[in-house]
Amino acid sequence: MSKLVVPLVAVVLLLVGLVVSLFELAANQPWGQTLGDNFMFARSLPFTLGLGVALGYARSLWPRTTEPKHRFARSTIWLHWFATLAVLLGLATGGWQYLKGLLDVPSPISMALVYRVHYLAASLLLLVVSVCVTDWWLRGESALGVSRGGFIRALRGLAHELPRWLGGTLGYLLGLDLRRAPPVSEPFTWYERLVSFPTWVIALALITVTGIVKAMRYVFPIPGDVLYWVSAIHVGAMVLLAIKVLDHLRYVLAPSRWRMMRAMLGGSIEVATPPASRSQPAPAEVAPAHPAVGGPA
Amino acid sequence: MRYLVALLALAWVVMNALVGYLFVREALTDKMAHKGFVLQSLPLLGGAVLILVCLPLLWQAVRLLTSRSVAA
Repeated sequence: MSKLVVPLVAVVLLLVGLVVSLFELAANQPWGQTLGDNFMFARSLPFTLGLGVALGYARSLWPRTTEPKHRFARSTIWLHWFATLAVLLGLATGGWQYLKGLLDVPSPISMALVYRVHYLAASLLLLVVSVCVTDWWLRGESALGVSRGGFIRALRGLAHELPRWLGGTLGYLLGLDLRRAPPVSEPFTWYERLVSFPTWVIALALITVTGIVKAMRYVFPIPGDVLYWVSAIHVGAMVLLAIKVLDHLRYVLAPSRWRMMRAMLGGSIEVATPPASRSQPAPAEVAPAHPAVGGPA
Repeated sequence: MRYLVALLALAWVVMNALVGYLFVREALTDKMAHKGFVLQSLPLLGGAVLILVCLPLLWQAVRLLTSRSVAA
């Protein structure tokens, strides 16, 4: 019951908040579109985050069907594509704003529209991030993490997945025994768990926190020096996100990993056989010529 | 589907490489040099890294377009 009521209350609160904010904007303030949009965005933040927490709570209670052929739940696929849309729109409009200032040229597109789309993309990203964080936290989701005490094993798996020269260097520097067979990692690869996901978290956390501070600058007084550094970090996080998108595409578009892309389009995926139990004799632990998942990361 | 995805990836590579080039070009102007090391290094390093990271994706997108079979 609460998995329906809580999100419904959050939706109603968001709508009430937006309507009150719109009335406030129309009745009292002589602001232009950009400043008005900034206030709308800043005022809607608690409601957007609240809706995300409510939806994440509902999602954590929702029963899940575990289909071994599908790598992701249907709702995960939707959340991924919403986040993709938000990141791409946010990057395009953010890059446009930064380039306009850098090149010092007039924009052929109305900048008020660019900012409006940026705020909408930011709202969508905040919603998706808050849904995922709440859901994962409540369910204790750790598939994309590394278990306690398993870091060395994870590094060994990563070294096997990386291109031979890079994995070999990593193994040499960290003293990893790469003659042993790579540890199995399902459903996510060691590269996803040790490199890709943590850097997504860092980039998204940086862009989210600095974006919220920037959005609040007219609602709450923020010292100029702080705002300067927050803006610089926001731009840096934008470049980091652009790099992350390029690296993510590079990883999933490799022909040997095309099945990963298909899985995110809703298709099925072949699942590796689970590792043998400890009671059974281990197979000959000799590293194979190729990594376990697709080509080199 | 994979051809469409590969072509979209190529378009994304071109746009990012263009942005990277503009970052580097503007970072090397006198105007940015007068703004100090931090403000100049952001677009310079960011643009250079952006262009570098475009190369592996370009390679994978071309491979996806030209490879006869992909992992199902």
